[in-house]
Amino acid sequence: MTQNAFKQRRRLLQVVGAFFLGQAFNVSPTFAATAPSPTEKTTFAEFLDVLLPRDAVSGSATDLRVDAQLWDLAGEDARFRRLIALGCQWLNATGGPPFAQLSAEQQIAVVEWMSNSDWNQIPRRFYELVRQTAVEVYYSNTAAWRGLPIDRPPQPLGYLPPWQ
Amino acid sequence: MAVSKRFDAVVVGSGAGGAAAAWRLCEKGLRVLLLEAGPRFDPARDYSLSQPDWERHPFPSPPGSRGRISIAPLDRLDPADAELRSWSRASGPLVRGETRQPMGPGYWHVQGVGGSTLHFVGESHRMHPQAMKLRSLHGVGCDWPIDYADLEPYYALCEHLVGVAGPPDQGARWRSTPFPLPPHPLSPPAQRLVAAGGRLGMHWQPNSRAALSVAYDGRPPCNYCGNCNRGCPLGDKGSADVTFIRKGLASGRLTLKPASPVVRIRAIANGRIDTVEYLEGKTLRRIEAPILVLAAGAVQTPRLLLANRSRRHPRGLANGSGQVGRNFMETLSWNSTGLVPGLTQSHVGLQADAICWDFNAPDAIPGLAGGCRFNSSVQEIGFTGPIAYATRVVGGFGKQLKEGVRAHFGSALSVGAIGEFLPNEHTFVDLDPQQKDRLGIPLPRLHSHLGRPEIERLKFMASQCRRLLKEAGAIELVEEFGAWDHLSATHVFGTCRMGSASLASVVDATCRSHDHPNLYITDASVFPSSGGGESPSLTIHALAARAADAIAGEVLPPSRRAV
Repeated sequence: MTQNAFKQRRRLLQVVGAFFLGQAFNVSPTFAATAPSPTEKTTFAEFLDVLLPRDAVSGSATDLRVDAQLWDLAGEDARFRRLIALGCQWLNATGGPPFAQLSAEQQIAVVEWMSNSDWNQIPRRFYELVRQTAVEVYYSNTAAWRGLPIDRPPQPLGYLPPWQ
Repeated sequence: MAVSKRFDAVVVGSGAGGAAAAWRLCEKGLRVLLLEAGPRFDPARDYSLSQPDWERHPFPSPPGSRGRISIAPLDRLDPADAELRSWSRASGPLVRGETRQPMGPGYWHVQGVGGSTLHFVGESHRMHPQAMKLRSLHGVGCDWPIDYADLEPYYALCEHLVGVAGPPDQGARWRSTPFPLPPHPLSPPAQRLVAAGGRLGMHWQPNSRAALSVAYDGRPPCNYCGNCNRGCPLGDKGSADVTFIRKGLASGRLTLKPASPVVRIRAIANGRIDTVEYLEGKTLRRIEAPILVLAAGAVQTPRLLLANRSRRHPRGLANGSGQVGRNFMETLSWNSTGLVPGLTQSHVGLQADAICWDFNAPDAIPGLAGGCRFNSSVQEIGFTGPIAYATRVVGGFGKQLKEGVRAHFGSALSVGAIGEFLPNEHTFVDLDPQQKDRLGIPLPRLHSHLGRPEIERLKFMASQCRRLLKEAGAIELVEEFGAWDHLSATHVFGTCRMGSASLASVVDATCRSHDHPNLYITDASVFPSSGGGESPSLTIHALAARAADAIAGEVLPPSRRAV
């Protein structure tokens, strides 16, 4: 693993750890971090693309491989893995078809409900933590910066005056 | 264990105070050992500003680079003061609960070569002269046993060593020499604040900054990337590693030992400090300390003193007064952020490049003793990339989230404020009775209580920040946070107070312990007052250089004085 990849991973794990610590919310420490099932992969990918969809300017979460990076992270943090498992289960047990088979409007309505649900229940915690980590990974990719007034990291060139 | 005798002085801690003391002692001809508990950072390896994911990396914290602390239960929050609650548009309340909570570690510092100057913004401020005489002039807090005039030559000395850039107009802070460098250009967000402040009758001006506006002393000028507090990879920021320590090493008289935490300090019967034990790798070493300078910061310095209890010193070293750890003052801060239509480049420029001192004098806030200052803070609090906008400004998800980030990026405008923190009996540092570090030394435990003056000062700070943002054209506030519900201390002071009376203070006017004639303390723990928002690094440098001159004048025969 490169030095930067190591730092990225470490930082993401810190975000996850801080979330569980800060929210006094935890899952069984005995949960084993298993590989994702095909259903979980599909459900999670669909959920991420609802959070960060493709538009005319930039790609979706899965276009930028955010799903793969979050699965890597889940492989190293049993709490995050367990939360994803519970969240995917919930997404597929809302009373209708599995989440991936819902229309775009229905998917948005489900995620909208999650974002306003009880802070102490699985749907809201899943939404909050996945949103936080997905956004961090997504906007760490320069491909996501299209349409923004930046096209490179702050260094080594800086932003020399004159400014607007 | 053999005792090494090679050095004239041992300095503990290589931050603002230790580095400046070590440099000045070397300049004066002393051979100095500088012990640093943390690692030496390599900007090319450790700082991430050239990576596309730089936003995910605050200043790095490798193992050993942050001292462990514990925090005693904090205040319950009075709903009557709820206007001071921290919140963001994207996340709602930032503190869920009815008690004040630590933000992150609660005490932000760096243990490493350069100390917290590595992650500081780099404001370079002199104390307001009246802020050093709070008790006699304003009836609160505590006086310093020295005056502004005593420090002025050392302010000038250290400004020239660091390379401080600033404007000539400094009000009550009279100067014997101009700043060595011209002020920095104002960034787009700072220009908005200067203009808005002017319309409100406030005087905003370029801040005095330990960052190079032109090349200086072999260091390049700033390139205005806006991320000073994530670690400056250029070396233009005047952190202690590229200034005092570099100069000290160049003298040939400084020996620097990173990753060498002090384990024990021993005093002998006549009160003198005899030896210091420190860990180097896995080896415990003992060194003779003809002079010992402690500069581990206002949390770790009292911890070291309190932890070195003995039969002869049952309350710890330097603690005949019982004041070690008392009078702790933390950072009374506030930040408000709004979105300003038409502003598109608020992410560029130097952090904290504009400041307003109008309310800094201790009598400047109507009805309150103790001042504050205001500054442009948008880059400092992290609105420099899209992740900040997506997690703090724009709520929700989907199309709205992505479009919101594109629409608002670069339009955040933030005003920060820092105010006087008056000491109170409930705010102090002691030893945690249960928790110890890997060396078996009890952790420092922080006790913090906001008194009524602090809460009222915070209300004034918040109201002024909101007023400024409104005048600057902010259509909506999107985030506010402050010290009312968060303990988030960066500037800490007071735990080894300087004073003339040995019964009420820990060190004298030269920073020498009242109890141990060869022990000096040169960090912000000696500050009798916090100041009305001045950033402390320059005053720490100046006090340390002044203490070093006192040491050299006392211990060196004229034949060995180099300067």
